[in-house]
Amino acid sequence: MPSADDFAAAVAFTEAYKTSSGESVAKREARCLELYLPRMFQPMRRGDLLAGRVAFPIVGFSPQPGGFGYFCRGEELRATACALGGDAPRLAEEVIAFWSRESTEAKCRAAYPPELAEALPSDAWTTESGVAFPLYRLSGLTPDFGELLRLGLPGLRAAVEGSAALARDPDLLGSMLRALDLLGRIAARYATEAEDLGDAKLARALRSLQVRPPRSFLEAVQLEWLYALASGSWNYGHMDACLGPFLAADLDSGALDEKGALDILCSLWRLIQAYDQRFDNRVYIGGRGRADEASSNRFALLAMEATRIVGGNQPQLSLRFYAGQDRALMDKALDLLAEGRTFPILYNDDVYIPAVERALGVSSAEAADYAPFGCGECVIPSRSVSTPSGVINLLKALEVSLHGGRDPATGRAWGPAAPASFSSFEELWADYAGRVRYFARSLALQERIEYDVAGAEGSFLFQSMLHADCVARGKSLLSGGIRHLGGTLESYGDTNVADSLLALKKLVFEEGRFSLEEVVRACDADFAGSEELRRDLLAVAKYGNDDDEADAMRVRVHEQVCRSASGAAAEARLDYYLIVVINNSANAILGRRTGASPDGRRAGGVLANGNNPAPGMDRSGVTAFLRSIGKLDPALSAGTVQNMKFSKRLCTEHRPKFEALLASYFAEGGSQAMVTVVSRGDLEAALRKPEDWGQLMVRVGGFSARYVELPRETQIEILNRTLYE
Amino acid sequence: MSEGILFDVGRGSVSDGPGLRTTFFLKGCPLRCRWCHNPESWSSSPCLETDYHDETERRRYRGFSMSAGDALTLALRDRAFYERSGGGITLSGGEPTAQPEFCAELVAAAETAGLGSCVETSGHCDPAVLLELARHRCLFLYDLKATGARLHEELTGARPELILDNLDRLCAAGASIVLRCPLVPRVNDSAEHLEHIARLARSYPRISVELLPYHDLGLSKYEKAGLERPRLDTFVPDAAYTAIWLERLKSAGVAATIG
Repeated sequence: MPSADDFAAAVAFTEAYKTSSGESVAKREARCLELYLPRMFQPMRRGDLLAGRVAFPIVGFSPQPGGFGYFCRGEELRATACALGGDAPRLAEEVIAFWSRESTEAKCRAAYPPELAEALPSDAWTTESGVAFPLYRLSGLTPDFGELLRLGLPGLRAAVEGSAALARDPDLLGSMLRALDLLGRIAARYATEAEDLGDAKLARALRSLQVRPPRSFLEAVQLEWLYALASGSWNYGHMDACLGPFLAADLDSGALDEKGALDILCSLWRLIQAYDQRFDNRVYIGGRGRADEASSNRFALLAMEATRIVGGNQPQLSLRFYAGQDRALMDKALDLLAEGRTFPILYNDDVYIPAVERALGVSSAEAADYAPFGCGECVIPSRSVSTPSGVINLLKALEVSLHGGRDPATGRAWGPAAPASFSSFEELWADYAGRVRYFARSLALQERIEYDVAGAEGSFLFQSMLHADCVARGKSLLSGGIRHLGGTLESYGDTNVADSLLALKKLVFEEGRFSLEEVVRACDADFAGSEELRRDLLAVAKYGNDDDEADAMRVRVHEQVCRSASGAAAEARLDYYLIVVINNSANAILGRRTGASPDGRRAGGVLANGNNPAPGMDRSGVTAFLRSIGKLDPALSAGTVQNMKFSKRLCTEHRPKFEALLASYFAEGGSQAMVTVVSRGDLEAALRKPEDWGQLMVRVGGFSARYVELPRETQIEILNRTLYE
Repeated sequence: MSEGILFDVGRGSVSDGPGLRTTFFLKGCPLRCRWCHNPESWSSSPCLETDYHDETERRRYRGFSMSAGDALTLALRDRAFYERSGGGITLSGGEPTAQPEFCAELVAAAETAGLGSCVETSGHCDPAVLLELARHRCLFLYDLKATGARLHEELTGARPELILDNLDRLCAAGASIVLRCPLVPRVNDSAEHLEHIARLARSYPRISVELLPYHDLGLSKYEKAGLERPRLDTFVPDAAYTAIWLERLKSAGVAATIG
């Protein structure tokens, strides 16, 4: 429970913000950070080999972790004030009222033009029914940690001071320097703490970082971690390329042995778990374009061992690989997966790099640096921004098209009116596609407004110093600094729409077995009294079985939604605007408020997960499943999630076949794989006796979780996902 | 092109021969093994079964026909997987040799296309059928179910002479054979039977041995197919138990594996 100090800090932050009203945005931010960060950074704990723990103050400023831009967590402030009594509740209400107008999120919403406010009436995507919702955040920012480690804090300071372009904006320059000084003071504070805890080595490292670039593995890890926390980053890019050379130098000189290095990394992994965000916390290893590949590979192997030792669902260790990469990395990766770790997530460079080049419209050299963050949204670390700022429920869009343009759950219109009925499949398709385009465009415009407002509110000083081309241009991240300003849109229900459309096409428009109205009525009644009709719907071919017709419909749906988004980029003045087909439990959340659908799914049932077939609908064997998911062009989107569930027996007793299976999938164009290795018996046992299965890990979609901690509907979905033996 | 009657196709199978395989499950079987886990395969034509999908009872026909050409086209979709894993197609059942034209045609077409074939068979069939398949370099996954004519007949419904003679013929023809031995504790895992397995394995150089320990995963299929569950005085053996079988065979000079 927050304390009186926390409450006072919230009030003081608010006052500082208010009294900065005449100042530039950069200066206001520097001043606010001087209040925010010293409170955010928390004391070391005994056993920490590195400094850097956080607790987010109730009011503050960050890109995403504490809140979006200037934020105030009102409920928490209110509860704290109630506990304190006296004048606190009144003061709290004042502060809350102030931020309800002044928070960056509120300013985004207020900046919508009327037609956008009508298109996107609600922000409550987790509790309300609807087609499209905005999200407020600035996520996936990954500063150039390689540059940070080369320069160190003093070198970065010199680079900022030496920028001719920044010299023309003394406020921005001065604020960046203030931010760096602040980080130096935090390092000094931690040095004293480390000393008090008896860790003289760490204390020396923290002092050294204030005056020179890192010289050891410990110093390098420490600097990267502190900067990540101060900047509000939740993803770490190519950690092996940044830290590998430091590791190799220390190991080769004998300054550090393998065990010592592993201990440091395990400590970092535990701190990342404590900096808890299961949807993010991505660490990349492997792949093309790493300058010192041999040293990077040594780090990569150590990182996988740390994941094996520490366990849990974070960091989300991700392995990039290409034909010709040191085989030891993939071997170790498959060992971990076979043990049921769910990490590393696998990315196939040979498919991904050309896809990123096309999708994001970046150079091949930049594409080679890709590192999907969060649940799988592609970003070029330190050179692009890909925040997903909206969710679209495609199955709800179809449901609305089938109900005259209104959501049957609420009666509210979503997008253009629809005809009462359709005389051909293509008419229905046109209405659905138009609706998707309408909302993709709305969310693209919303994304641009969000960036503009965030840029007008904050300089994101720490991020701007290490994102191209902010320092060179003398501009902050969202005010003309970032090289590629892109955005993403999370799409859900894609598979259910494809399966539903095929069922309608076959049974209604081709065979005439039912009228469209009959099917819609049956769906509205959740198939009560229409079980025969539902069986017929279920019997139509489904995506995930390498069935040409079903997969072609899935491809058509994918291409349509992808083009709807990318086609909206120019009008929204975004360098790219792309669909991501990921998952973060939204398939269950959005499914709850979506009626029964013509694919045979019942009302409220989960939507298919990411790029996957609907649960249990892939029944033709693993190669058919893999071929189906390989048909969606990865160059149209900023990332799709492919979840695969394999039996322990396949991955251990039949290991060469398991390897051949994955290798063939990737060689045939598979871009990505998120692997869960589990036995059905274990999942069933965990449902019955959760207390015995606390460590059972599964991949949900874009994140991993302890199975027993998931909501029931997600547990059932995972159980129902086809397990390939 | 001849049509086959099948009850399932499994793609990416890891248990039906080397590598990753597409397995065609053919309907119809002349035997009635007491431990059979595919009772839906017995009848040679599509049959009604009850599916308990999504809590609603559903009667449907199990079985469909498919031409050998269509079967090959389907199999070829997974060529990349076979090539990397050393896999191919497998004919299973049921008893695939009960549909000899379909089998011969599919196996010949697969050979022409560069795909290897396996046949899972009880060996209870016309020897000419097996020799024709051997001509196309099939790998035979050949069952040895029990030792002793009376026991064999009691457990499978057929006497063993034809099966053993056919095994001889295939060996003489130089075919590659994996002797697949379903072992059911207390039912057919006698010392005499293990000795018989070892003797056969030693006498033919191109034979390897795979033991298939009894499991009860097929029992629910009996209800679905409207059949009575077989009564067997047995249990599902654990790893320690199957290790004893392996050890016995090893001491008889045969390195068997668990399939």
